[in-house]
Amino acid sequence: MASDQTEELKKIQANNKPQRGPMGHGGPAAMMPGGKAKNLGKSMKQLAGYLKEYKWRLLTVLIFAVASTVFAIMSPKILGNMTNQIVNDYIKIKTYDTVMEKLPQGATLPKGTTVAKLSDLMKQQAEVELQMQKDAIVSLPAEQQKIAIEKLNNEMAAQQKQSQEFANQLKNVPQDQRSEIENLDLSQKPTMNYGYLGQTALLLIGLFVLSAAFGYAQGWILTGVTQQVAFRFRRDISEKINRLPLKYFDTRPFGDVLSRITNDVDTIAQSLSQSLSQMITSVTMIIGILVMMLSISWQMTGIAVITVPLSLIFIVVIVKRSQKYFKQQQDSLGDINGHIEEIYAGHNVVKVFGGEKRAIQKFNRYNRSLHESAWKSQFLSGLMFPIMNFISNLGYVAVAMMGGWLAINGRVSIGDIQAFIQYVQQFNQPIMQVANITNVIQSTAAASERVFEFLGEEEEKV
Amino acid sequence: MKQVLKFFKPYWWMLILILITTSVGVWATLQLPMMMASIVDNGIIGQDESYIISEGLKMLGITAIGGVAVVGSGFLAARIGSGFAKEVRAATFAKVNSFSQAEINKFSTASLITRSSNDVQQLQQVTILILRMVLQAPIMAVGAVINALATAPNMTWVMALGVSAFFVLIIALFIAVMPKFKIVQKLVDKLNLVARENLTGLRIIRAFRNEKYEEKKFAAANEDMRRINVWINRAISLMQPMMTLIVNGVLLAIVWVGAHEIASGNLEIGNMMAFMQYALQVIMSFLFLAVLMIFLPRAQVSMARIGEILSTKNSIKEPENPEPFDQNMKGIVEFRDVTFSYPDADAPILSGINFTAQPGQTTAFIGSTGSGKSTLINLIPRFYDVSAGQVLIDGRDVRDVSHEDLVRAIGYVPQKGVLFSGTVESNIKYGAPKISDKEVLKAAEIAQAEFVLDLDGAFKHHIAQGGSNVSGGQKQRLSIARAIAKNPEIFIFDDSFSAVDYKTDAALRHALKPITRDKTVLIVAQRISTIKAAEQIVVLDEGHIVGRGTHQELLLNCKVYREIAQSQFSDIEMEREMAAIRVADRKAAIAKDRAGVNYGQ
Repeated sequence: MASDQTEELKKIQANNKPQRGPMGHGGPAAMMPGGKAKNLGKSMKQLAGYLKEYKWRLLTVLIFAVASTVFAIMSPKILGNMTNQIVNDYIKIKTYDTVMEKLPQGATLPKGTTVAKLSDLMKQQAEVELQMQKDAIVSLPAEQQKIAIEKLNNEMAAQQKQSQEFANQLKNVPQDQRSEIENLDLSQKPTMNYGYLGQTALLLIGLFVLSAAFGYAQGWILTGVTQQVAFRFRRDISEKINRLPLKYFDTRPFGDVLSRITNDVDTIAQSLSQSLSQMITSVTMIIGILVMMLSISWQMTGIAVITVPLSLIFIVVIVKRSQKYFKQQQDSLGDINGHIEEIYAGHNVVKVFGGEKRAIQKFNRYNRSLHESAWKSQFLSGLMFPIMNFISNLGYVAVAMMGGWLAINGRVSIGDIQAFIQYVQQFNQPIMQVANITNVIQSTAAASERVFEFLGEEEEKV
Repeated sequence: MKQVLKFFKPYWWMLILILITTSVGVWATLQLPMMMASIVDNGIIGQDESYIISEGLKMLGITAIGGVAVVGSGFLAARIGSGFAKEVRAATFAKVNSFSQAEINKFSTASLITRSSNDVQQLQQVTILILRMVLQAPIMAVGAVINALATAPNMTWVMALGVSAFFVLIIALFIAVMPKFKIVQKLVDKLNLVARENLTGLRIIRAFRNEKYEEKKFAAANEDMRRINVWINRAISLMQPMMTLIVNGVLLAIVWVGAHEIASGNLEIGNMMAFMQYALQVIMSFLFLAVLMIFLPRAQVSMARIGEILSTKNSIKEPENPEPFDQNMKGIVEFRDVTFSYPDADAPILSGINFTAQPGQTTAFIGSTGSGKSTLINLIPRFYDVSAGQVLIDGRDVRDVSHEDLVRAIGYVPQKGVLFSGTVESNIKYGAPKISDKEVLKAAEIAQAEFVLDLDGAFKHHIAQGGSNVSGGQKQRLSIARAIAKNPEIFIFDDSFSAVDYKTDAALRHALKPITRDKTVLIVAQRISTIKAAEQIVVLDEGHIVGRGTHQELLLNCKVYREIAQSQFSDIEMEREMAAIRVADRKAAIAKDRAGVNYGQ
């Protein structure tokens, strides 16, 4: 849930970066890629050529990223095992407490008294008592016998009910735990299995640290590579400048070449590291989480997976609708900015010819239509997050209900439900990233195309 | 800051509403783990299927309520953010419109444009972002903490530990990375500088075969850039794994501590699971607050930049009791001991200016660049106000006349032709919206703007923003037509003839003659040929009047004027001019002599 928000923030942050031209403020970057490459395949191939010499490092990145993700995915399930252990021990403690409540204060049981033995004992004792009472009734006068029998029957019913409840409680416990509880030694109070819990905790800490270490190492190597690539791009451009015929620069503003050196190369470096590492981790995560979820329960997985296309459909619908308003907003923004420029630049003329009122009227007209499209596009694009959140909450509820039902029937454990909820919550993020990756690739391609275009210009003949 | 924030005022009830919807959304989100806990404790451990179903349905209902509330928040956020931006934008635009030239210069036109467009847009984005996402963070944090306290009071310290670990991480990264970002900005500038030098000096570099040296210089800057970028990105890529580590650590700690609590009977299992959710939510909320710390300064900068505009006082004030002009005003312009200096300038740009421009006459101003001639005529329509002395029209100080009356009397043609988007006609009619088509045509004819008739659609021809689809000379002629169409008492031509060729210049002046017969005409000029025929020429040098008179008089008596003439006329032309003047002068002398003789007789 929360990770989606971070995603959106990142997008807005990226969107707020200064862009070329004064009107570079649009909707979320996901909807308005910074420009499209004319020939995506070609520029990606050229980019791959640049990356070739780093193939071993990139392979390491791949392995590390997968390793980090796998370790990360394993941990909720193991944490769930810890919870299961706690649940088991908790039930034992509760059973012990229930039994002890029935015994007289301060009474102890001999060593080796298990729950099963105890209930046998209780049965025997009940029969003995019954016999004794029956004998007593027989010796009573006839008129009192009737009342006594009734009383005895009531007592017996109550007792039966009590033992039935006790048996029921045991019956509902899953098979493997039931025998454990039946064999529970009641001579002393059971405790949590801290030995097991501690070992698992240590294992988990190991996994966490490993995952973080691999994750960081991956980022460390990747940064080195992408910055090296950026360095080479800049160097090549600067050398290219000196090999191009002079007339090339007659028709092109310097700013154009300079923006390739800074903006485009920056975009490549940023999007390259983003797309490479995200692609690997997202795909690994999706597969890994699916596997883990399936290992817990295919029914629950089914429910969780259904929510994904549901969110995607909503996103597509919303993006389509909001795109229209984003276009309108962009147009109005163009109108209003143009008007502002014109009026400010001609300030003196406006003043002397008494045009202020008209300028403001026109401005207000533009401002109104900008406002109209602005709030609609903002609202629609903002809907994406709450709707996805809503759907993921639906998934949460469905998992809770389904999980609860399965748990009662002993098909999943409580720890599994806990792990499953964690998986469901992590599931959305990589899917969003994969959905967004085409945009990232597009902007990488567009930026690298501009750079390769420059590097491919015909050089001066020596 | 206050000037900008006050535009939230009309939206106060929406702000309250969004507070409510956000709280409802948060409430719903926080409700779920609690209910999940009771499903675990009562439903699963208590073996009650119907409880699971009824509680699950309740969860669905709450989810729906939460969903509606969050959509409502999104709606309100969009309305408030864009509405606020609309108000700010309108106020900024109106304010800039009211500015005098002094305020425009203070900010520069370019800066005013970015403030009115980009900064406002930035403000809108951040407002919506804050309302939609960051607003819920503190509410969520409070709610989650309360719920966490309710479910497992003994474990809150685990949560506190997690949050503090988070803060330490963020602050450490912030401290480490922020200064480096500034260095990156400097390096980008440096890289740009080196590349720009290489580009601008390309011919010289090629000629001297200096390419290798330039490349080396660039490579050094490039390597610095790479190093620091690697450092920064490595530091930042520490963030994600560390965050995950902390979150996982907190979860594990909750289970570990929870086990003890459960064993001692202080905690139910479901509550432990709920607590895990709450802890996550609290940490995320604090993360959002941290993000807010990054966004807020940016919004603050934009807000300050807009606030600066809104709080700027206009140096030109409307008179409290404006004096109207006479019904049949004459248009006499008089400068009386005028001194003017730009704000924050040491020396005055004009001092001791005295002259009177009469109707039916042309008064011209000439002088070298920076002599103050354009500044001088800018004082008439009050682009600036005098520092001392008075500017009078028909004997009334321009500061005592209302802006409307003042500009109605003036037809102004700027140095560079300025047009507005619309049609040719709308531009000519700009100062006089009610004139007939015939008058529009006549104004265009006088302004030598016959080219209009060849345009597609003639007077209905579209003029692009800033007049970018017509040439400079055409723009200038349309600007002149606009001033003529207004039929003012006073014409001001601020060096308006330099953009047209000599022939058009002459034709224009000829055509202007009849309509300016009883008007006051003030011309700033570069070319002596433009003003030769003027009844009065004022020669300016470094802010002082150094000569006044007709062309002939000044050629004889004014050194500065003669120098200007010499630089513009060929030797032969100059000779001819001087000869003509000498002849005229002698004639005048003889006439005087005769008169003297006659008197003597």
